[in-house]
Amino acid sequence: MSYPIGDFEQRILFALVRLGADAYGVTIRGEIEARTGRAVSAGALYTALDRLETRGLVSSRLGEPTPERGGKRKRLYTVQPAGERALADVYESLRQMASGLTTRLKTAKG
Amino acid sequence: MRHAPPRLSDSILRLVVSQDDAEAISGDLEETFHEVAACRGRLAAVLWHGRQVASIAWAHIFSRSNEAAEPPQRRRTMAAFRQDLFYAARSLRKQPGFAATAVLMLAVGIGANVAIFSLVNAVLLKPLPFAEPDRLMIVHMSAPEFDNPGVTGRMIWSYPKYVLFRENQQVFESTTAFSSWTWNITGTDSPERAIGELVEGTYFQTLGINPEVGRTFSADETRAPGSVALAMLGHGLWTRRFGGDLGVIGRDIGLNGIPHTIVGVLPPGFRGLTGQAEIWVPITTLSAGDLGEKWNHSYTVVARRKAGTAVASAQAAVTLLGEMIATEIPDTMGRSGWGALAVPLNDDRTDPLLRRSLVLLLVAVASVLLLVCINVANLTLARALGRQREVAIRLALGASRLRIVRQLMTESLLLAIVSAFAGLAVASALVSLGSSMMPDLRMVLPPRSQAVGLTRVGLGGVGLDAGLLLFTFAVAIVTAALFGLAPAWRASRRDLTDAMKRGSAGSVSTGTRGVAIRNVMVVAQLALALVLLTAGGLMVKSVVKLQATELGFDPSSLLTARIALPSPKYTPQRATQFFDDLVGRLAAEPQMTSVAYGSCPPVSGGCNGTMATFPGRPPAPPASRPLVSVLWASPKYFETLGIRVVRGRAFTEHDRVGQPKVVVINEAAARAFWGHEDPVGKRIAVGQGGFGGDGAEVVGVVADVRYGAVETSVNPDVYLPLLQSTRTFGFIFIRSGAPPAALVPLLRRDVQALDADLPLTDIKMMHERFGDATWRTRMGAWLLGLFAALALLLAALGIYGVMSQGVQQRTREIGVRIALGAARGDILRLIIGRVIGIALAGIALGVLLAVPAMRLLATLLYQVRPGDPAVFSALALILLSVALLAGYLPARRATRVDPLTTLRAE
Repeated sequence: MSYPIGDFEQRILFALVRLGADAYGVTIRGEIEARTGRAVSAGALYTALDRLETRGLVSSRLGEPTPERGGKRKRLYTVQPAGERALADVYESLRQMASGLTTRLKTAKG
Repeated sequence: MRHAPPRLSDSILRLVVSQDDAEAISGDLEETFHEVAACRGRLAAVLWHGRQVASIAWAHIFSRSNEAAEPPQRRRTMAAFRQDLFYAARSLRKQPGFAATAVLMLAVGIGANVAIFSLVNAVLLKPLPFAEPDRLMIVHMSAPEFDNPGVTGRMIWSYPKYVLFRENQQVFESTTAFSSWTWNITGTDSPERAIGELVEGTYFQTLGINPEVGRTFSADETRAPGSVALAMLGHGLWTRRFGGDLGVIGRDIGLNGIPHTIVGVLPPGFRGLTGQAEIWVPITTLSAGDLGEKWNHSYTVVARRKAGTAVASAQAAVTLLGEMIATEIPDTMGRSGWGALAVPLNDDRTDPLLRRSLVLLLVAVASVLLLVCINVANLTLARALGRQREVAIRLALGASRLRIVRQLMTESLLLAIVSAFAGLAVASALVSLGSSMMPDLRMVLPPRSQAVGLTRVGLGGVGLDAGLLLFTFAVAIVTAALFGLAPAWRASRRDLTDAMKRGSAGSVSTGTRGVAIRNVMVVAQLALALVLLTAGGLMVKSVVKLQATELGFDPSSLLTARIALPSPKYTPQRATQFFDDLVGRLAAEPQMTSVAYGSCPPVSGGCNGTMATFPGRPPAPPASRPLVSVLWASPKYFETLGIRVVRGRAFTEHDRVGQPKVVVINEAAARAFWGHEDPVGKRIAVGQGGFGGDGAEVVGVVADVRYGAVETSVNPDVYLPLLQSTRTFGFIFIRSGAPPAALVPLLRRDVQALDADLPLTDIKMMHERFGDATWRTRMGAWLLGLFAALALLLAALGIYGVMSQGVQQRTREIGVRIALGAARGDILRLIIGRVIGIALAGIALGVLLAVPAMRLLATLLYQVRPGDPAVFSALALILLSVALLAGYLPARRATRVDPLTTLRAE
């Protein structure tokens, strides 16, 4: 757990937590794009998922095939406890840093 | 209908990502692909898919997940490579004009090469799709040729001869005989003509093909003639007519009105050795009488060599067996020359002329790519010179020369790889365009050769596969080396202080050597372009000659359709009656100008032939009897086809059974058999259609019609009146001003009114048949012409590029000359003089290369000599004019040089 997790990886982890049992390539990408309003590149998404899995933060299994996918199976992702801890750490440190600044941050954004 | 995602980018995806991830990622992309297609259209979706795959490929190349596992040395190299790649991508992105031009040219060059190679690969290289195809051999009979005494040709087998071969041979582990066959599928609402094969029970085992469903024919079921009626279905027929129902096994399918029990279904893609079969029936369903005919040569024999037997020993054994069979079943006319020979299946897989065309096309298309490489090398060189300062600084800071070359080569490689992907898209578009234009191969390749079937089998395998991808990337890497290495080497060799001292890139001079190299490259380009131009020009001239050939009939507004009447239902007499009734019905339709029956359509080949004798003349020995084509025709035949009656008369309604037998002959027959005498009133006998014996009276002579290939000369023809003979199959010819779309329903309706079970096949306008017959030459002309046009364009671009760069580099010199009083005309002459010099050198070299090269083309030409002076001089002139035009633009720019500006710029 020496590496920090990057911005993009954080968003993926958030998306996984939100999506629960239905988290796979298409839905993860849709979730991040819908919430951040920014396009996600396919290459970045799959390598990041791969990296998260290698580091033990998420796990994956093959799901069932559906006709709209040309009969190909989905790879479904789940956050592992280590991933939830990492996410909580990041969020906590961000929250600490941001505490008391909410009003200013909102004004800056507007 | 929903479209699947583009196959090309999906296969690239599978190539890039691991097996593990491929399914899920490909599925994810497919899912979104359909959404994108639904909102923004298919094209947008295809582009979207391509972008996703590119992004994934890029990310995978740079993914560092496995880095820790690599040895440190390799890790450093990889890191340097990644750095180079990043740097290359960035520097190319900064010059999008250069990158786009280079990628466009390379993609067209690589794409055309991949497309032609995919054809060569499928038809000539890829192993045939049977188990261990190297062990398969095709066994021919050799037979004395009828019209060519003393010459033996290859021939197919009669069943009794084959049985002798099969029972006595010891070198093959399995042998099989088969024949192409067609059936009408009956007993359903939509009668259909199915092409299939009559096969010996050992057929599937010999080829090593296992059924997808059910079983093959067993030895017991196919032991003796007159065996039970069984059938195996092709995968296509099974899904089309039975919806892929597993329950068809054991059910019946009606073939020519006889129920056949379905025992199995073959795997998808398998279309038999004829390459077009959809149904298989045991050969032993024929009667003992049919199979017992010793002189009915109808069957092709294929055999699988025993594992330990060499090709040569199998061939020796077959030769001996052939002699044995010739003694056992001697020639009825006492001719010698019968025997047998075995050839590896692969050697017979395509027609030599087609092989030659393909190889020539491959050479031509490779030359186009070479031209592209020269152009891109020129661009790269110009670009590298513009970066001399950057390179010099890097060298000064201690970068090794190798490192610089590698950096520049990485850029070239990146360009080539990107172009290879784009080239694959170009290639798959070309291949699908090409296969939609593919005619019936029977018309293109000589008939009676196994090559037709095996070429079809090969063409079934055209498409993107691992071999083709490998070829594409090999081409890309070679290409990158060709266009990138020399410029990179040159650029890294610069003298440091010299380059760094100089100012902006615009005024850097290359030195005389750089100019010389580029002039040589342009000369080479022009020479290559001239070679391609002459090849294209000669082929185009052949097509013009083909189109101008006197066919002997009028192919415009002539609809043709084939009808075959199934044998148990139609006796020969009933069949003739049917054709007579049908022609009568059709002729009564108001739209028809004229309707007729004929046994064989012109320019299609495969007509009937036999020997002619002349009652009243002393009998000639069998071997020297002349060979004639025999054609059956209804009364209006000559009128409908627009065949001129030269002497005497055509057939009439009165030439019927019971009346004196009459025939009409063509001018070639009149010349060959009667010389200057008038043949009308003379007698001729042919051994077919009941016109043997004392023969029939010649009542008319008609113009020569080309029934075989358009290129081959006309043989003597004898026409028999349909109404005095019998025929169970043939063609209906309809001349009418109405469009075919209006005629075909009428034709169908009239056929169905006479027999609801009868399908119509091979419905074509006569000019389409002419198109099929001349396909090989036209296709060659099209492709070579296209490549020649590309070459011309590329050579023009090359001249333009080099001349404008020359002008740019000599701006100062030109400025000085103008300042010293040179007239603009002098400057123009100076530059144009150089262009003319280069162009003439290119043309001279091109002619030197083209004269021997065109000899390779000789067999593909028609009535054009490979050294045709008109073609050579016209094309040299075109090349010269294009070169002048391409050189004129930079020359004119040179005359506008403002001496003050250039001098001040220094």
